[in-house]
Amino acid sequence: MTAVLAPSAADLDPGTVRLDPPDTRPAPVSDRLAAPTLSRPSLVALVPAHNEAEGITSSIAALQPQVDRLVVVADNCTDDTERLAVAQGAEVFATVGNTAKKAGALNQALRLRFRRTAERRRQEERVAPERVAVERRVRDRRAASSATSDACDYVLVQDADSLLDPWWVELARRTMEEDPGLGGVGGVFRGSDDPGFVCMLQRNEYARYARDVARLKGRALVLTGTASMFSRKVLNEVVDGRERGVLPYGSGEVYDTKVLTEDNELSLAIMHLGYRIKSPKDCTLVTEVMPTWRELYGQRLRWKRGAIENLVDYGMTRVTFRYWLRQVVTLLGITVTALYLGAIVWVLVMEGSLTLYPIWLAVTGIFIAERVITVRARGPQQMLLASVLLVEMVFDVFLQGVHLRAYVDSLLRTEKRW
Amino acid sequence: MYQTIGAPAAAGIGALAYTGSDLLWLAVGAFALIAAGSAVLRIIPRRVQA
Repeated sequence: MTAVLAPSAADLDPGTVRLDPPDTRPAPVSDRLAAPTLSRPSLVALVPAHNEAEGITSSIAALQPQVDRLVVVADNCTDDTERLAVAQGAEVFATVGNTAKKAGALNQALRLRFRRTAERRRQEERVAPERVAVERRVRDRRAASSATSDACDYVLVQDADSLLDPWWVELARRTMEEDPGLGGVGGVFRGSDDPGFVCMLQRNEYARYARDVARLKGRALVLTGTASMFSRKVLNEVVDGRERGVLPYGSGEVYDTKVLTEDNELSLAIMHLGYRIKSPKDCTLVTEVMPTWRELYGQRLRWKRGAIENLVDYGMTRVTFRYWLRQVVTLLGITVTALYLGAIVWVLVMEGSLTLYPIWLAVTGIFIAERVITVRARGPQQMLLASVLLVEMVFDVFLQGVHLRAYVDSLLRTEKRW
Repeated sequence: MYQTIGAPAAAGIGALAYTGSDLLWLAVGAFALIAAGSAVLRIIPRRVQA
């Protein structure tokens, strides 16, 4: 089925859902999320897209065979994204008046269903609070025990520049079905094959990340926007948690529109509700890499500052403890790197040569081995390149510089732009 | 977000200029050794499953 959904502003207000013309267009996306019609748990894929004409066709082609329904959430597109998506057989949900980037676009696509649910629940709670409490307990028990309950109705959110491997959805769905304690499943990504030195370094970085996640049996830090699947029940709980004030951003919506990294924030929200997150090693996909240092700088500054500010929003909790610890270690690393490089310059200026100590040469050997072995999945050529420690050190020091800038921007509360 | 902590700081530490009695450099050296330990843990083979 091919359709373009174009809700009016009135459609986005609670209780005033209207599609124009109502009899010829499909139901709102969010209604369809609420009404699975397939015999197996339904899955709806949302692909937020802002001027993604370049990659939307291949992205849809990889995703469409895997899902029950695919909706491209076209946000303020001025290029051919919508036309190409429709031509590819996808449904298109065009946002209306969205100023909150990807998070706002996704919220619009999800809003009708969740907001109406929340309003109905509030009304019922006012009229018959005891009955609602009993019903909620029954529903929760049923959800925890039944594979056909709300707990197994899924929403997949995937960036328009990602390409899922053909087995992604089936594997993610199975992982979710086998473990009711999971709030979401994410992907393990490879970098796209763009040419250039900075692209190659990012592919190495992603290969190491994939290796780390696999060795941790899928224990991931974040369900990234590249591709993540959530149970609808959990997303409902996130909305509920925000409304009740147990999660930041009391908007009654799934995504926090104030943050720079909405995927990181949603991951924290899900974990604060008592769920775990996982990135199975075989849930693989390809995502784009930044072609220039400047674009990489912009991307990473947003990621790193977003992550820092997410942690500040949540404070120190049982969940955020390990994330804070990583921040502390990273800050120490930045300090040590600065001291190290500063010391080398100082010694060269003052003495004209460096004294090498055997113990530190041995330590260097360990670091070289680590760089080489952890990039083994990318082949002998990359391993050889990684053995030249200085090559990747440039990249690492660059990322540390970005991280430092993220701390400064967070502290100074400079304007967020992305 | 996807960076392995410690590795960038430790990379190239082998030429650490000063590791004498100065407390600061002792701290830097200690961090480098901890990072080296972390690097060893990352390269030790481990059984991987989905």
